[in-house]
Amino acid sequence: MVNASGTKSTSPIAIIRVGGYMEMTTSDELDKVLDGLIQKQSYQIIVDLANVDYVSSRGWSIFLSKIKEIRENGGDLKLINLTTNVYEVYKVLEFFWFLRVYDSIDDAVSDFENNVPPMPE
Amino acid sequence: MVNKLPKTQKKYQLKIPSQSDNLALIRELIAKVASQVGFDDEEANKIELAVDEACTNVIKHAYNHNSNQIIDVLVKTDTKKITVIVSDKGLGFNPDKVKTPDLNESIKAGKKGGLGICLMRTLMDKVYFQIKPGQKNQVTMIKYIN
Repeated sequence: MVNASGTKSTSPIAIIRVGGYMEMTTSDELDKVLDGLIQKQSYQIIVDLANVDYVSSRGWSIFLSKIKEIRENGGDLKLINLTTNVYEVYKVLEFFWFLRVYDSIDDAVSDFENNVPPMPE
Repeated sequence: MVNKLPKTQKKYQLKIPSQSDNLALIRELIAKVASQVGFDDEEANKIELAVDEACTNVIKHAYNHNSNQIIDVLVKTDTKKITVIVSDKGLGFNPDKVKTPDLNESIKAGKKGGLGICLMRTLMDKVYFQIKPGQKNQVTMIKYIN
């Protein structure tokens, strides 16, 4: 299950909430949602993984494939609320080099609002 | 941690149409068997994910999303380990040519894919392939109980 919404009606930040096990089908849904946001030039994106049991390689690949375009347009893709299982794979795949994770939506929003660069410089 | 150990070897087999809707059922089987053997939730989840990756590869690559084909999942357990063998009769590949993806390159190229086998190899203790395209392709994954 993949849902997209905004933080506030006036905010440029989009929140995507994903639920369940992010395998082939769910990942493809996420792919479409991300493409839709990019088409609408919505480049500040938060993906909430609080209700995700696991992210398969397809899901991680989709994050990777979108980062360049999102960042080239001044945005970022931030992950929040990773469960233990998801965080374990995040570490295994060494995604900490490419994607920041946050414990709460407020932390991620704050980084966007304060124009914190996507990754350490 | 080990909390329940089987006294003898056990074997479970699932032959199921090659479609993504069936991945949940396969994961459920793996989770239950891994738990029975004594893997904790975290380790059981790793095994689930590795098997999901193997089956996804079969659906996408070996059978090219043809749901009339069958995925064969055989699970064997003993007191020390779980062994999962995923077999298909579809298109094969050369596992020696599958390298750990360079994530920087994937980002630059906006590329999807290439992480599945890398994940399988990382999450399990042993992973090996026997490829005979059109006859029988097999990936065997082993995880030992700590």
